[in-house]
Amino acid sequence: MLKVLKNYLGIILIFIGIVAGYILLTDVWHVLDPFLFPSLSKVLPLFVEYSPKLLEGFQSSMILLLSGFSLSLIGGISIGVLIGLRSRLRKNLTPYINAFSAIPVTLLTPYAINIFPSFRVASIFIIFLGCFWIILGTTISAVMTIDKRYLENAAIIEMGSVERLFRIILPAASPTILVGCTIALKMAFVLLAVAEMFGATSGMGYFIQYYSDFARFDLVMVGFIFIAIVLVILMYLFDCAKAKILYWTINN
Amino acid sequence: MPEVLIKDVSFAYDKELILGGINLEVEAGDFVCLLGQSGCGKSTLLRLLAGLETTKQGEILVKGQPITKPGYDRIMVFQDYGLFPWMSAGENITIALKQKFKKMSKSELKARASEWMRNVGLDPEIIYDKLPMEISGGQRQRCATARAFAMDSPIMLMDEPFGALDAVTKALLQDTVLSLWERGGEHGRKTVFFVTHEVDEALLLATDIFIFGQSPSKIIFKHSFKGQAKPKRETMFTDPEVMALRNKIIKIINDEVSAKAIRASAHS
Ligand SMILES: Nc1ncnc2c1ncn2[C@@H]1O[C@H](COP(=O)(O)OP(=O)(O)OP(=O)(O)O)[C@@H](O)[C@H]1O
Ligand SMILES: [Mg+2]
Repeated sequence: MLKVLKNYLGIILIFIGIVAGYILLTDVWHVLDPFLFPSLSKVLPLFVEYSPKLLEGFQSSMILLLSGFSLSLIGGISIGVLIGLRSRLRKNLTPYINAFSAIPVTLLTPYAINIFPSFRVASIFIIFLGCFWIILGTTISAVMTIDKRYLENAAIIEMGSVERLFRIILPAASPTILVGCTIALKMAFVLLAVAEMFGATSGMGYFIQYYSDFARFDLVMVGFIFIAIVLVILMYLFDCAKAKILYWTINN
Repeated sequence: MPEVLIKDVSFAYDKELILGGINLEVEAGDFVCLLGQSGCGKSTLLRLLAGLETTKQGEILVKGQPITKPGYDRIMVFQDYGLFPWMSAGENITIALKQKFKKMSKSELKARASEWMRNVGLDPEIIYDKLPMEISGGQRQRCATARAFAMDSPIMLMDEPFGALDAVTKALLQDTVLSLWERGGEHGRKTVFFVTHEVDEALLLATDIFIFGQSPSKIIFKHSFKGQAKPKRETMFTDPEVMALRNKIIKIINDEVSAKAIRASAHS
């Protein structure tokens, strides 16, 4: 127990510092506008009151987030490996990948709404696309930069192509691919707010959007804190998975 | 028919000619040491033998057949990167074995890998499940050596396999390789191509020594110990004949280095 505490001491101290800073800037010195930055004593009770709504929002957000993110994971990695391994294909596709990935995904919402049958699918598509470009790009460069000696070593023992993909190429590329996945997961959260701006009736982003329209900044603050907590937990779980996959690297 | 016949092989990576007409004849069971200064193309020749590069001129025949790609008749031991860091030491051996011995069961593969670990002086009880980063450099090279011998390919290509090891570990591994080579496999003694830049290592291991000249490289010196006793670690430094040969080889390599320096300054 003591060891755990010692382990997380830095994190806890910074947390206390942020909370204390916020209290000083609001309740004590009254530097910040109380309307935009309500006192914590007002915000915290609202957590309890609105928890059913927050949980409902959590559920519907997670459906969007996880489906969009997993689709981009599957699509980005498989297409990225394919392009990374074939230099001809890469040469021919690179300008188009650059062109399409440069379009801000958020600008595509009207098209998404129009093309897809439901708002939910359109939202998933927005999240998918934003994450997809990131994962695709990092996977391509991850595969391209695999040390050739690993591939030669596999060639020497005449390893078959399926085994080579799963036992050599993916493991060798996994450190870089996972960097892309981490960025993509954060991106998914940012895009969640955009995706929930249209057609959603619940959701973590929707919650903030909805109350900000009513200028209820105490509830907006509740929404921010809730999203932050979810993000921290999700990233923690993701880091655990990452450590499992990268068990063989030195720095972890 | 020689086991390996290298006929007038030239090779260039881009425009720069690296190998300029190499001719070699190697009998089955020969232990060939390739000497020469850094950058002369020793690794390149091994890569050609392995089938990782293809000859642009001349040909390399193994048992009369030209080399077109990697094959189970040849196995390579790399100086580094011989093991995949994401697999355990044992798995690194079995993954190679299962490509060649497709009918072996998992437990047979594991048994063969463990047996070869013991043959190179590793305790599989301790080492088998460890990751390459969890064992020492010497243990890693033992493991790579075990993997190569376990494949039982008639031709072994070793590119400075012990170059990064300390003197004592290196000596132990040289003895291991030598005794395994002497013991032989299913098809008798293996034919070994061993790249090194240490003259003493070559004297100790080789049945045949070849020295590479430079830019573009040719074989500039050959020596064979066939028909005479091979130098032994205990006696070679007191044997005047071996020492004379040693000095001669060192002189040839040094002369080549300075000749190259003169050529380089003449060009500029
Ligand atoms: N992939 C490559 N592309 C272009 N040039 C290369 C490549 N690999 C090696 N070379 C060049 O070929 C020459 C021979 O290289 P090689 O690795 O065969 O030398 P070496 O004799 O093994 O040297 P060392 O003792 O340092 O290992 C060098 O001049 C090197 O710069
Ligand atoms: Mg070399």
